[in-house]
Amino acid sequence: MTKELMQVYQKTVLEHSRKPHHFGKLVNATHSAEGFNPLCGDKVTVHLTMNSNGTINEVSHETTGCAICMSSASMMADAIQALDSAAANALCSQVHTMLTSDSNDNPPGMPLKSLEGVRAYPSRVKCATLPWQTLLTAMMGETLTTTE
Amino acid sequence: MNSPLFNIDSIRAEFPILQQQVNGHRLAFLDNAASSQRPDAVIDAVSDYYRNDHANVHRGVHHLSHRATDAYEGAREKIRAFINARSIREIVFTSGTTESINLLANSLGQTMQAGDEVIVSRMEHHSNIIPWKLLAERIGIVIKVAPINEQGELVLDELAKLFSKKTKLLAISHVSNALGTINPVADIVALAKQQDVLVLLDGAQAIPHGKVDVQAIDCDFYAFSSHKMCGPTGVGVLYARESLLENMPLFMGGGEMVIAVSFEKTIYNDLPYRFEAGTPPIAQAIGLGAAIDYLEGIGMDKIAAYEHHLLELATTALSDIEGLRIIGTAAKKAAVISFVFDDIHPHDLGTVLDHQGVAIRTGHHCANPVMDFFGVPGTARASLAFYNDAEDIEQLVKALRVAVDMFR
Ligand SMILES: Cc1ncc(COP(=O)(O)O)c(C=O)c1O
Repeated sequence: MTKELMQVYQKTVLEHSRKPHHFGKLVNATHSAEGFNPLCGDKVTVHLTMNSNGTINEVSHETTGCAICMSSASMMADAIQALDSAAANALCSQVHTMLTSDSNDNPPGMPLKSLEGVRAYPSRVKCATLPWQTLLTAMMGETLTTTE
Repeated sequence: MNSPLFNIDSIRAEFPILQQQVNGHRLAFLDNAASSQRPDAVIDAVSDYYRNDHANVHRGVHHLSHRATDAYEGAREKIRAFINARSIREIVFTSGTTESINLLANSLGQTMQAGDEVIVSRMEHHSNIIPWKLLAERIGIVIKVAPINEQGELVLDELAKLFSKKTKLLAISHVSNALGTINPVADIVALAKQQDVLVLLDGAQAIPHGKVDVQAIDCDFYAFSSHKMCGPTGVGVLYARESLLENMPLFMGGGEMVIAVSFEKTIYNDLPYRFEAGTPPIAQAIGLGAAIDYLEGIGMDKIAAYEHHLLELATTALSDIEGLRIIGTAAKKAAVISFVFDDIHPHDLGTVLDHQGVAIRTGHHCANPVMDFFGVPGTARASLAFYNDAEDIEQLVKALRVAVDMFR
């Protein structure tokens, strides 16, 4: 298997995709949004409970999609737990930049760094960004987004 | 299966695109249902035309325009003979299957009213669903859907029950792009004729894989695309029975479709030109004519037999892979194999296979209702053509085993 492919489907990614964290519904969700990729049929639903000052107390996702989409959603849920909305927004744009630019200066410890390999596959970048786009949509109080 | 009658190595040698490496591997191109590849004969016909003969058709008195017109109309005659239509008046050039169906929906649609019914099937491509849905939204026709069974076959008894006095058209695929099912179209047409219902066949997936005879099938309309039968992109055909076409309302207006125009009165052109407004896809139609010559040079019956042999080879080989489930197991199938794994998403498969030089299609194949029926978000689909060989299938199987090891 080539290096690029191993980079995309590295151990962390495969582990998250097989056993996604924070998977399921959330009773008492204050914010929920659905995100679709009509080209491939991937669907991500993000549920949040946010308190009055905008901190994410709880998060869950229901994802039907490929390993890249699933692991991105799973890692995202891990990463945004307990963030306030400003920090969550900042992380969204950081991840978006990481997935869509080709600079190599993403710090090694950065969350989601393991998804970086997807950049070698332009047709798959949206698989990774869909959960994040859906998160932003939920935080804005909207309920639906699509990649197209 | 090299034989004097079907020499696969010399056929493959005629397709320049197959001679390349992809991601460091021999290319196994198994996405032919999405679009086929072209032999030198077609590529040369198009480039020779542009180099030597191009001018607009049906317009100029000058030499090149005559040459272009002869070549373009020559292609129409080749198509007529290829599908055994009675006359070139029945061969309307369009941009492809999608436009053919939209042309029909917009023309025939003008003769329909609210409450009229169009029957489609559960296995249709979106291009044979949406034009009818648009008509439903615009004028209130009702769409009825013929069901399929677990093998992905039409349930003819149920289809028969859908006809009513209000049924105006049955629009159904000849071969399913998502499942490979070959529908018994002659029987279906006979059923519809008993009810006095017109029949459109979506032949996009049927036409490249065997002899199609529109008179033997006795359908009223037959739509197909050049790019799926080794011809250029951007051209397709709507075959329409002349007696019907003669009275069908016009759809697009413009040049070519008229003989004389004043602001008071318009005299429309003869068939089929009345339905071909604007400068047509000339080079593409000529390329399609070359593709037909090429296919007939091999022989459609030989192509069908060889592809069936490949289908059996591939079906057996894929069935050996643990956890692989084939979606679409009709008794009569074209060389299309849709499959899923419960634990591996089709897109991940697609990427891993691509890395090994194997091109397959993954996703919903523009047939969401089929995916819903089988309860899958999408499938991986290997679709074979007569220029595929056993080595392509071996490469597919090997690549799938790599993917399975990786994801399990
Ligand atoms: C069964 C079927 N119908 C219609 C179409 C649409 O053909 P085109 O995109 O060439 O118009 C396709 C192509 O994918 C098809 O497979």
